[in-house]
Amino acid sequence: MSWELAEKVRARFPDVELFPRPGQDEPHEASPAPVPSASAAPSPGAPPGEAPKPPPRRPAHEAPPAFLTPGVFVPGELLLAICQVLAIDREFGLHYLSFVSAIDRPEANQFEVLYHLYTFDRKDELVLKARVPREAPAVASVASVWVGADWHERETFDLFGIVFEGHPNLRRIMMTDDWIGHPLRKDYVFQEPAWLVEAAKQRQKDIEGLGLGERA
Amino acid sequence: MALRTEELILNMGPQHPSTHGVLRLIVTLDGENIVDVQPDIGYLHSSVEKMMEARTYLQNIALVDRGMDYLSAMANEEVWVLATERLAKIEVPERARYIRTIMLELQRISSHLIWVGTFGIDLGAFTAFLWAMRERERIMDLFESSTGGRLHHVYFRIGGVNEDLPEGWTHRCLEFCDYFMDRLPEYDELLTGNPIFLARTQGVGVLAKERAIAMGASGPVARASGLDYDVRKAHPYEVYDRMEFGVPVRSEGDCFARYLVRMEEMRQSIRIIRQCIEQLPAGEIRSKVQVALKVPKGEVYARTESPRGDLGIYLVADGSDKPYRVKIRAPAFSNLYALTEMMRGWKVADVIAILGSIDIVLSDVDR
Repeated sequence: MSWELAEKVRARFPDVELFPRPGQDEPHEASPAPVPSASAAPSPGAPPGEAPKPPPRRPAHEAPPAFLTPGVFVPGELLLAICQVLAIDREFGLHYLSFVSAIDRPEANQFEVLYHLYTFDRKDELVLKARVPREAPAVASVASVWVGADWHERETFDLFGIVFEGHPNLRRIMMTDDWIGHPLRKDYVFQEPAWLVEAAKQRQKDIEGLGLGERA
Repeated sequence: MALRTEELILNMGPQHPSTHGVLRLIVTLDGENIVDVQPDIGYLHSSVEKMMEARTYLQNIALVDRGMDYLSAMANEEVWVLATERLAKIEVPERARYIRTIMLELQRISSHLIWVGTFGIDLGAFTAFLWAMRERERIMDLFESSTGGRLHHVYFRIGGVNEDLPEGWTHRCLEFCDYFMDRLPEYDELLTGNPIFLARTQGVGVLAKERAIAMGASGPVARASGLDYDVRKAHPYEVYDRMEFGVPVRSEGDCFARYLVRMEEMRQSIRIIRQCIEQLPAGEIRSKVQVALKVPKGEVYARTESPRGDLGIYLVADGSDKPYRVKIRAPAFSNLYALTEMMRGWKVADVIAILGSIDIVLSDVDR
């Protein structure tokens, strides 16, 4: 689990952005945080030249996220071109696509399309993330690079509604073809379909008085 | 004048004894020859990933047991607690790590035994099923006495395991190892050397190594095609780095190779269990972890070698007591994708043999 591979990708493609590294990129987000006045008060008395104070401890939920698996953010329009290089170039040798999925970020109004790649030569892994807008989520299909992406992209389309352009057979895989909505979106609300509610009511009527498990 | 032929579409399943669950295969036939196979999945989809978002980290242990691959509950628990522990930076006591490894290998044997049994039935060898169930029953007894559950154990905890092994358990486990190693040659007599079994499996449903990699196959299916890769060796978790064991790899890529790989894996599992019991240290079995554990913000991909292959969880935590997003990378899902490739060009009678050989569990495929 080294970041070497992610750095190599960054060196080859300047447009990609590394995941924030544990410990390293901490000040990136932390620096604008205001120093509490209570801890700032005694500092005038401290002798100059003393080692700088460690940043104040913040509650866990304010800490920046830790990315333990190395990876890069990839601009959506470059995804296919980058993947083609990663899969074929010996320098990377990422022949294996473990999965394709997505993460819904409603507060940022975007989806993060997630790819996990693996190389058997160096036994190393790399995560790719492509950010796509929530209104019209679309990204190029990588099924031409890794055949196995076929079903994974169908699943992501089914459960998130992300369109994979150029996919040979993009239709629902888990849910039924007439399903409405995409269940793994954060704003998805499940509603029993009308026909099912009707069928359940009818069934209750049919078994009335038979002692077959009527509901109150 | 050439005989005019027409393609026939055969609908197999979703309710079919050989689909090991609810899987529908749309088979296009030209006479007896398979032209194309399109698996239709999703009948067992329960959106486990969505359900996990609504449960705490602890509650999810019970959910992954049944929501994922129900024949290897321990392996599901393992990948879940592994991902959580890595993100929350929780140490696991030595003894618990050994116990987990023992349980995982017992689970591997029990899962492979079901596979041998059902694969035998698929090919008309009923005896293998009865024998495999007999052996598996002893593993179930071992599980029951230590975890309280036979299929769904809810035994692993974040930071350890639920309870220590009962008295005499390791002794009974070693007894089982001896018993099982005595029984394994019987399977060789029944299946490995059986001319009918060989005729049905040898050279049938070949998957080339390059295709296996491109399609995302893993586990015994990929290893039977010559891919020397096992997560336990490549990225050891628990105490696998201290164990001596071999990873069987075959180059043939046919149904018989997949059979041989799994049979050898069971032998290697016994080796691991014996070493674990020999080295099993005394001490704590669980580090202190609060029930409503809040996992700090972050993302991690944890990967394990389940009986079916490369089982992973991509966990996104948002600092609360419930996961923000869980992606389950199910090995059977990718292995099933390779089915079309394996089946093209074979006869309709081979559908069952090839489907049986990849060892799918539909709750793992559909989640």
